[in-house]
Amino acid sequence: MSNEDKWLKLAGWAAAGRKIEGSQAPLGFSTRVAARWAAGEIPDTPNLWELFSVRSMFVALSIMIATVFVNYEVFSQGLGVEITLVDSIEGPIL
Amino acid sequence: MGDQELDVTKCLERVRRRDEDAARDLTEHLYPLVIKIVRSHLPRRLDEEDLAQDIFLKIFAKLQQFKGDVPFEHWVSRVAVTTCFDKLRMQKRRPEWRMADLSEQEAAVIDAVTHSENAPTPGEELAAHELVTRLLDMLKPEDRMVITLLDLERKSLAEISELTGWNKTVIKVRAFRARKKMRKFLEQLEKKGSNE
Repeated sequence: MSNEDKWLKLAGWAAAGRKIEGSQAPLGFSTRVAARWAAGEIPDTPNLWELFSVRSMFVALSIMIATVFVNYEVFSQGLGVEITLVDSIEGPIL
Repeated sequence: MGDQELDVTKCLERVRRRDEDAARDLTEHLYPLVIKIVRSHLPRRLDEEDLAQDIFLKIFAKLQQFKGDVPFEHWVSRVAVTTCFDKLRMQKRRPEWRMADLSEQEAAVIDAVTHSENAPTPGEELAAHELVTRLLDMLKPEDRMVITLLDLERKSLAEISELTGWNKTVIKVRAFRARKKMRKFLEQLEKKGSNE
């Protein structure tokens, strides 16, 4: 028997072994749900900060790279300036 | 109100008018459908009743978006599946398999799956379910979702696509990847079994 077949056989057994009892709502369940809904409760939504933080970093990085690319000449001018150092020593040291 | 008597369309109208009794009736009516989905996709350390309550609150919160272009039960199933998936994704860490965790029943199930031609006993089915649940916990949420729907619930690609909103090619790729991992896990477990 191939591993694929073994997996499908195991999955079939597992599907048959699933919990099937208790498919009726437990006592008071619908009352609790209705009360929470009437109170205007909204279930947890994913944290927006968490959701967007990584994407925001990528966007910020892209903007930074684009800025350097567009303004490359301005940046490179500063790098190309020659600096002359003046030697203050007038005579040779003996 | 009895379950058979519930007129879903009228009940929805009443819920939209913020009728709390109607919300209760609708919850009772939909509970078997929702709890079946919850039990199939329940993340570790999460209570099934808490998750079911969250799903119902989401259904009520989104009820204005239901336009009736699909059967209401299909729409509810989709909300339930996506809520379960969001909860699975929120779990940052997935457990790693430790061979020492393999119970005697689970080891016997692996042996029976490999060698036995007989129909499984209820005990073997239960042990198989526990073993598969633990193996599924180690998969990425999207792989777990696909393999549960495809191999355990025997849903078609079209049904999975409707429930998850993923296209069929994505589902096929995820199923291939997830099955490969499950085969690898099984192979490791078999080796472990034969070494003992």
